[in-house]
Amino acid sequence: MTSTLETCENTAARPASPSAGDTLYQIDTKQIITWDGSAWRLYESDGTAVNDSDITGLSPHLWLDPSYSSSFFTDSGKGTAVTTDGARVGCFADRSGNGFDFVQATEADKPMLCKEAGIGNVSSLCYTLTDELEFTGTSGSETSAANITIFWVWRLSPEGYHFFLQGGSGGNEPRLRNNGSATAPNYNWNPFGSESGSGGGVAFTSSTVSASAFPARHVYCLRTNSSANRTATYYNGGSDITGSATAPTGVYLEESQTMLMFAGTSNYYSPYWLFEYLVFDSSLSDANVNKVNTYLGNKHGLTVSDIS
Amino acid sequence: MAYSADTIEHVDDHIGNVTLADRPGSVTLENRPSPVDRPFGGVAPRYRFSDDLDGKHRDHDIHFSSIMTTDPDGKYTITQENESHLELDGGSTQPPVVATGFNIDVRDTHANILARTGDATGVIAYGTDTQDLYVYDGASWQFYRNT
Repeated sequence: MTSTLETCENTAARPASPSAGDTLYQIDTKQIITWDGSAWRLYESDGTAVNDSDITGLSPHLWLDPSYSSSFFTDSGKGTAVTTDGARVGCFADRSGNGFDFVQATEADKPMLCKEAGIGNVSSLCYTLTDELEFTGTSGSETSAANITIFWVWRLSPEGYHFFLQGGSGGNEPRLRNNGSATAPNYNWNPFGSESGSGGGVAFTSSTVSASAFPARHVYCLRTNSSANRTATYYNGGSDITGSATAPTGVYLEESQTMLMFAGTSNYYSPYWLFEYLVFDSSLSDANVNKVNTYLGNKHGLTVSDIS
Repeated sequence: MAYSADTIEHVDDHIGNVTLADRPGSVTLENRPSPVDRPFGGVAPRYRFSDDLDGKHRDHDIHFSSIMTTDPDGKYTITQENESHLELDGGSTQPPVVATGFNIDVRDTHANILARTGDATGVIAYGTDTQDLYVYDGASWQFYRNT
């Protein structure tokens, strides 16, 4: 028989007269529990195990993976890894193999490594004030905006008019921002090409949804599809919260254009946490969006549902 | 052939004694020497167990008493007397049984563990490439990081 721990449903169902060393798996809390002769000692799960092949099998165009062994470095040279909680990170290295690293050369603008920030002890980058990471597009990074799928796992502050992602040259670049205020924030996506612009854009979530969602770590997915002429966004999976947005034209990660991850200014103070960022240069199927959402949900301890 | 018991000692209710509530009912041993060649009584295999989790493993000698009978087919059965006793044959043809601790027989790579199917809730595995522990919760694998 395969080695199997005895189980108990919950605390009330633990053995009444255990012997020292008795070890069980408690189902409701997912803890391993051991009786030391006088008390139960509890060992917390580090999360649901995930299989990275769920992601690599879909050939991501860009993948900032905080759990990867070679993700955080002091600078773009990637010679010195950053592993200490609170240390500045000058490079969040792309795991896709394409080398689309997000970097920051100015010491004061480097986000800080935040470890043990939640379930699974998955690291994140904490941004405050003017912290931001940048990526300057190349001919290889540029991909059609009409058929892309992007995932973020992050925790945001409901602070008005802050840009989570923005082209470095201003309003004519794609950007994702909080277009509301501290009391009424919402996701706002200014897309590409003819749809771009410094004003307007598409509000992808209601302020009510965002106000509660922003302070919590969550998975945000944006998918475009030229055939359906549609842009869809999802918050922890679920239903499309975009509304009737059409697919954008133009390109994403445009050559020679600099993308800013959290375009901070001195006027903004609230911290943001970036856990994970994934870009696929295609419109993923529903099944594959669900696969990625499930992977990210398990990895970051989030409850996600299939998209609809 | 003559045998000498290692110890004939009956230990019941002094400090350090253990109650083995889930002891086996009986143990049947084959190819053992005839009981007429050796005395009945307890033997004293040495068990090592930890009675707390402070990392200080304490060695304890546990003495058991048993009744040995001969079956018509030539097998010898050792039967426990009460809850305080565990029956073991410490005869010379087999070494004393030594507790080795809980053994995890699913030892595989992270990917192979996650690819397993049909496991019961509570199945525990060891990741040979991650050095993490995994427990199946009925739907997915929980992991416990090696630190």
